[in-house]
Amino acid sequence: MKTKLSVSEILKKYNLIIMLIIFIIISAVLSPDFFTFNNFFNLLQQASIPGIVAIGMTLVIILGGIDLSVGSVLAFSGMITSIVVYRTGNMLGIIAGCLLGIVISALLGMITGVLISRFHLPDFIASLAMMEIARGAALLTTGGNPVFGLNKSFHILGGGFIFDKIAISGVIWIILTVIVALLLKYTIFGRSLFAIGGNSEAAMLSGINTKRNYAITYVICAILAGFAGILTASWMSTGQPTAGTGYELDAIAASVIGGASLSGGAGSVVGTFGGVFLLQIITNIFNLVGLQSYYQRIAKGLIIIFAVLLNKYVSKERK
Amino acid sequence: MKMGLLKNNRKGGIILNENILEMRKISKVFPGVKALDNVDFTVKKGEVHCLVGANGAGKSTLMKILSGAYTEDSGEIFFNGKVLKSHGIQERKKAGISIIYQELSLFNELTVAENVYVNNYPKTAGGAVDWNRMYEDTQKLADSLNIKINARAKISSLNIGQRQLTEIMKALACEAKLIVMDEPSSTLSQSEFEILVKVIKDLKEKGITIIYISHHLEELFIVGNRITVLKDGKFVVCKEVNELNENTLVEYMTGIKISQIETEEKENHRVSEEVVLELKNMCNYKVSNINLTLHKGEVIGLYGLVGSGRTEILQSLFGIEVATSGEIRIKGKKVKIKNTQDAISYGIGLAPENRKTQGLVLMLPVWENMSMVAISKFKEGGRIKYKSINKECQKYKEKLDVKTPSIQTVTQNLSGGNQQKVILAKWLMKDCDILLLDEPTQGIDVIAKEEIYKLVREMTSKGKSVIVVSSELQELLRICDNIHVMYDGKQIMCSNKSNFNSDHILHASVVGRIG
Repeated sequence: MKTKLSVSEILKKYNLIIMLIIFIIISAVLSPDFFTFNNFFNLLQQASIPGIVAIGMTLVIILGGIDLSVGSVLAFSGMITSIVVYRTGNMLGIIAGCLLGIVISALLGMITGVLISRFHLPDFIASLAMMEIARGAALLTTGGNPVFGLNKSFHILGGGFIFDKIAISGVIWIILTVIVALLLKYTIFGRSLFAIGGNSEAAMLSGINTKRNYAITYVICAILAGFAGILTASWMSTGQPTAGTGYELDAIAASVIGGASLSGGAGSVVGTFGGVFLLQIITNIFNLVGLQSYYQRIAKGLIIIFAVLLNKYVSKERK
Repeated sequence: MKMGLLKNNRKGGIILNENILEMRKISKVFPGVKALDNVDFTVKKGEVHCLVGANGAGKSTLMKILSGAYTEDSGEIFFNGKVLKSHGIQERKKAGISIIYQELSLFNELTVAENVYVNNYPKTAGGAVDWNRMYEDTQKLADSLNIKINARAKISSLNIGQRQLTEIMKALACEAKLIVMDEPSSTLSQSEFEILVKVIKDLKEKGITIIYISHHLEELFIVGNRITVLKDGKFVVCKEVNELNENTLVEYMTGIKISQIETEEKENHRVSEEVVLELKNMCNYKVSNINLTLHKGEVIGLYGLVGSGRTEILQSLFGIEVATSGEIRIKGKKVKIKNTQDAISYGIGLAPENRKTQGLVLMLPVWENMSMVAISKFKEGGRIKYKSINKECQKYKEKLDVKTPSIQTVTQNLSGGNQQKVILAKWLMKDCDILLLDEPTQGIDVIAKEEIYKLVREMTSKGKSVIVVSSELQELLRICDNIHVMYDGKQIMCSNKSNFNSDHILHASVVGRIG
C-alpha cells in the first residue's frame, strides 16, 4: 500500500521529467548525435522562441483564457522592429525598434484583454479576431515582403552565443521562465491568476480586480510574444511577415503537456518549459534520423494525447 | 414467482417483498476516511424514507453508491428483488433509481418537455423527434401530478420550485421506481415547499418510493414515514416518524442532548450606541428605499421570501450591484461602493449565498482560500511570505475547528459546514468590521450550525457587526438583535429582540403587510 502510494506520488510530481528522460534515452539510442553538448545547445536555441511564447500562453491558460493571437503578434512586432532597424541602421535605431515592437504588442494585448474583460467577448473569439488583425497588419507593413539586410549587431540578440555555444536567446528563455515562476508563486498578482482561473466569481467576491488582472495578463502574454518576434527577426536577420504561424497551437500544446488545465486554475511555467523542450526533442530527433517532417506532426499529436492522459490519470490518483 | 426467484438467490437471504431497496453492510473507504462502515439501509415500497445525519455522516456517499457514481468496497444492494451489480449511473437509472441533486441538472435554454425527455426523446416513425407527442406527454405527466407548469416553457423562465418539479417529472419519464431527493427544500419558499409536499403525496399514491434527505428536521415529520439516522459513517437507528421528535432526532444525529446546546445562547449581549453603517433610502435594481442602522456589535437579520430583495441589499453593500440612489454611510461618512474592492476597503466582508460557486475556489487548497482576501497582509519586501500564511491559516483552522486533514487539502474535499468556516476564516483574517452573511447555515448540519452561531456571537462581542440573510426564521430569532422583514423589494417591518414574535414576522413576510 505504502510503496504503491509513493510510486503514484513520484509519477504525479515528476511525470513530465520522467517522460523527458524516456524521450532523451530513446533519442540517444536512435542517434549518436543526439546526446552531445552541441546538440543540446542547438535544442536550447531552437526551443527558446516558442518557449518564450509559451510562457505567456501558460499565464493566460491559468487565468482560464486562451490567446490565439500570439503568432500574429510575434510577426507584427518583428516587422515593426525590423523596419525601424532597417531604416535607421544604428544602435539607437535597434533599441528604438525593439521598444516600439514591444509597446505595440502590449497595446494589442491590452485590446484583446479589454475586449474579453470589459466587453465580455469570449476569449477564443477576441483573440481569433486579434490573430487576423495582427497578421494582416504584419503583411501590410511591407506589402507581404520580408525585410532583408538588417544591421549586424541586431543579430546578436537572437542569434548570438555565449562562449560560442550557448545561445543568448536560450539564456533569456531560462531567465524569463524563472522570473515568471517567481511571479506566479510570490506575488499577489500571480496568486490571483489561480483564483480567477479556478472560480472568477469567487475571486471577484474576494476583492480581486478580475477585469484589471485579465487585461494585465493578456498584455504580458502579448509582450512576451512581441519579444519573441524581435528575437525571431534578429535570429534570421530578416523581418518575416509570415513568422510565427501556428505558434499559438504549439504554445497551447506545451502548456497542456506541462500540466496546465484549459479550464483554468492550474498550470506552471516550469512545466511548460519541459513541454516546449519535449516537443523540440521530437522535432530534433526526427531531423537527426532524417525522417520526413510529416511524421513529426503525427508524433507531436500522439505526445499531446499521451501527456494529457497521463496528467488526468495522475490527478485522479490524487483524489 | 418473484419470491421463489428471490429465495434461490445464492448470496442473500430472503428479501421481504415489501422492501424495494436493501443496502446491506455497505462499507466504503476513502484515503484517510472510512466514509461508510457496515451500513444497513432498508426502504419499504411506497414509503417516504428520510435519511438524516450531520455533514460527513455518510449520506451522500451512500446515495452515490446507490446511484452508481461510487462503487462500494463491500456489501450488497438489492433493488426491486434483484441484486444490483456494481455498474454505472445509466444502468441504475434503467433499473428505476433516480436521484435529484441539490444542484439541479437542467438545461436552462431548453423547454420543460425537452428536459423531461432528454434521455429518451419520443420519436416519429421516421426517427425524427416527435415534438407534439413530447409536449403532450409532458403536459399529461404534469397534470397527473397536479403540477401547474407549461411544457413549452424554457427552464430559465421558471422559478426554483418549478425547476424542481421538472426534475421530478424527468425522473418519472425514466420510469423511476425510487426517487432520491437530496435537500429538495433548501432553496424553496414556503408555498413552493407546500406544493412539493403535495407532489410527494401523489407520488406515494402512485406507488413510487422516495428517499428524502434534508437538514430541515421539521420537514421530515411532515413528509416522512420512516427515518434512518447515520452518524460518522455508521448506521444509528431506523424508526417510524411517530416514534421520534426533533429533539430525540438531534440526539441520535449528534450524540449530544439538545438541552445542552441551547442554554448557553440565551444571555443577551450588549450593543453599543456607535453606528457603523447606515442606509438612507437606498435603492437598487431590485429594492427601494431601504433604511437601516447597524450599530457596533449588532446583528441585524433580513427575513423574507426568496426573491423579496434580501440578497440584493447585500449586493449593493458589497459593490456587486451599485446602489442607484440613496445614501450609504459608513461610520458617519457617506461612501460610494462601486465594486468589491471598495467594499473591502471600507471593512465589509461577504459570505455569499452559494458557497461552492461564489464563496470558494474549490480546486485550490484551504490555505489559499483562507488567505485570498488578506493576502497583502503577508507581503514582505514585495514577496509573499508563505511561512506567515501557513501560521495564520493553521491558527484559524484550530480556532474555527475546521475539520480538514491539513490546510493543503483541496477545499472541494471539505464538507459544507467546514467550507463555510473557511469562508468565515477568510474574512476574519482580513479583520473586517461589518460581515454580511447570506444564508450562512444553508445545508449545514446542526453541530456546525451551532459553531457558526457561536462564532457570530464571538465576533459581535469583539465589536464587529453582522447582517444576516436567512430563510430560517428560528435562526434569526436566535442570533439577531433586530430583524427587518422584506417583501417585494420593500422593507415592511422591523422588530427588536425585546418583542420578537415569530407569527407576526412570518405573517408579514408572506402577506406583505403588518397585521
